Amino acid sequence: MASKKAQKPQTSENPELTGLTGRKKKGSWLLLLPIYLFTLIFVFAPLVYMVFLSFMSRAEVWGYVPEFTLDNYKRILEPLYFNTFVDSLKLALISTVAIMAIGYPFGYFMARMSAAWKKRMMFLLMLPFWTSTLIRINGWIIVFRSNGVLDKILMGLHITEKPLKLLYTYPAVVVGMIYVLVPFMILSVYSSAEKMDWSLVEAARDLGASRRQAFCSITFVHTLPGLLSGTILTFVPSMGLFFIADILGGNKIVLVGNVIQEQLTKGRNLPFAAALSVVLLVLTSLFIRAYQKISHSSELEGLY
Amino acid sequence: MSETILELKELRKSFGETHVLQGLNIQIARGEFITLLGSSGCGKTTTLRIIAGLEDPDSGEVLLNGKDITKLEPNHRDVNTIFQSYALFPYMNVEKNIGYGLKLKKMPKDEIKSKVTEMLRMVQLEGYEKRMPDELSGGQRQRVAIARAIVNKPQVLLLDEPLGALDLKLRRQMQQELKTLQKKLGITFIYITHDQEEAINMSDRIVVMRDGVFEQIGTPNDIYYHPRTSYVADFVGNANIIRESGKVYAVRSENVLMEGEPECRIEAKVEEKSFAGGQLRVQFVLPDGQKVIASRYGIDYEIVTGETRKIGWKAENAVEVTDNGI
Repeated sequence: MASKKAQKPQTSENPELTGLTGRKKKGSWLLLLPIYLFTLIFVFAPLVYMVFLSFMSRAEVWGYVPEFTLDNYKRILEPLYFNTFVDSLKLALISTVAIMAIGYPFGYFMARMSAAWKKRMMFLLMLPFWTSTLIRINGWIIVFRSNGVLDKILMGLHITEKPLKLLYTYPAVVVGMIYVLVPFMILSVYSSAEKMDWSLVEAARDLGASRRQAFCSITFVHTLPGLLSGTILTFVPSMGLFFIADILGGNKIVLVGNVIQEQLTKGRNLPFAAALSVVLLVLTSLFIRAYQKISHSSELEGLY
Repeated sequence: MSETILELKELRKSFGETHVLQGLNIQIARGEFITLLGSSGCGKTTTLRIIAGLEDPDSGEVLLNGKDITKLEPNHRDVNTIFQSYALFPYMNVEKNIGYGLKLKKMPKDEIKSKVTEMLRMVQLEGYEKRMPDELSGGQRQRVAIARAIVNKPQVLLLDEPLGALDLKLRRQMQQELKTLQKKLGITFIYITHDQEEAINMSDRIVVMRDGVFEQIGTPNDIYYHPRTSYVADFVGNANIIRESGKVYAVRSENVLMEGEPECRIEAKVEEKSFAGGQLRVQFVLPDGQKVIASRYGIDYEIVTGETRKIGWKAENAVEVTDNGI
């Protein structure tokens, strides 16, 4: 690759090209200015404020007292709060694995459908996004509650005899997570499977690969970027989707998101809520970084 | 002819309402270079895919060495394909692409390496082991695709318009190389093309295919000089199809005589004159409206557009054919 690039004439040696790119750069910077300003004011500034807040002391009623302290971070290490991080990670992990198991085959087979069916499936996938997630999650209560839809079906088919009491349990929360996040996995696997050249699979089969071998060495490698980005798209949000645990888990399952919300609203402890948020942010950033590392190296070395 | 290696028996295939293959029968000999020639949509690629096992026929049989392989998975057939798009694995370098089949056969690593080196020498790509497919030119990719298929020493090699994407000069060169390679390896080649020159240059036998039917099977000589139908005469020989008192004849343009010979008895008007590839082509219109093209080497200034000349052809050069359109 490097040798090939070296053979090409350097762009900077061509005065005409440099002039063109120079002008283009100047213009595009001006055009992008509003976006930069927006990001600076509405994303970066609050972030700085949040970090600043996390080192301040708690005020009696609302706000903070400008005294530097590390107490907020020390408090996170207390088992009560530390465990919520562990629980959140565990739930995110379980949900993500389940979403992979459902979303990967779904996205893969969707890419192999006829154009007409692809359109229909896409429509069905997009349909839930027309309603607020909050409302849709509340809808699951009807399904899960005692003598709810699910119980009635199961008892009607004589699979179970008593109501299962699924609402406010861990599985209910996992189902909620899967329900909200699985479209992201499906779409990202679909988009990479869609780009795939299926004649490569035929070539592999022709050269002696069984269906399984062809899948592992060709299809899986080609759809891996989609699977990885789908994982990030589901794992990261699942750490913070507190309302699902709230609605479907009652107060039995407490995640970081729930603690942050409680500290902010009921506890009125802004600095502590900020510290929790900073830790959550750092954690998710680490996952994204790890993803970038994996996906980048897999692109370069082809995982062989 | 020597022993049969591949046989197709009454092969049929439909996609929905379209009958792509309508009962194909052929016996192909070991070491033969056979070409399926036909325009696009005639079913030649489907035939190849059925032999490779990438498509199932609706009915009929594929026999390899007398054994029925119709239901066999593609990986269990001793047949390899060179795809039109080459289908090189983009994430694997040249060495891994070529060694893919051998690795699946659990061949030891050093043995694979030496085989790959040998193959690369054969296709004149020594030292390209570590290149990725996107760092190769079209011709080089083609060579890698060839090497990747023949390294497995298949009994039959299927080639689906392998030279279609190359420019004319490279095409000619690769035609020659493929032919040499085939002689050297002794592998049976089943080659697909829509280019009649390519088919005539390379093949031991040509199968002219049209609308899912093998219209004529024969040596290039047979097909060129003794076309059985008007379609074959037109498609392979570019012959004039002349209808005369209920019969249909094929007369190739170089056999159309223009004045001076005793056979010249038909009054024809010169409609068009063109010069290409060292050849003069004159299009005549016969009194009954039929068009006849005559060709000669060199430039003939005496022929003027609009004038009337007496043309004709020797009886032995008019081959009677079955009329099935062109």
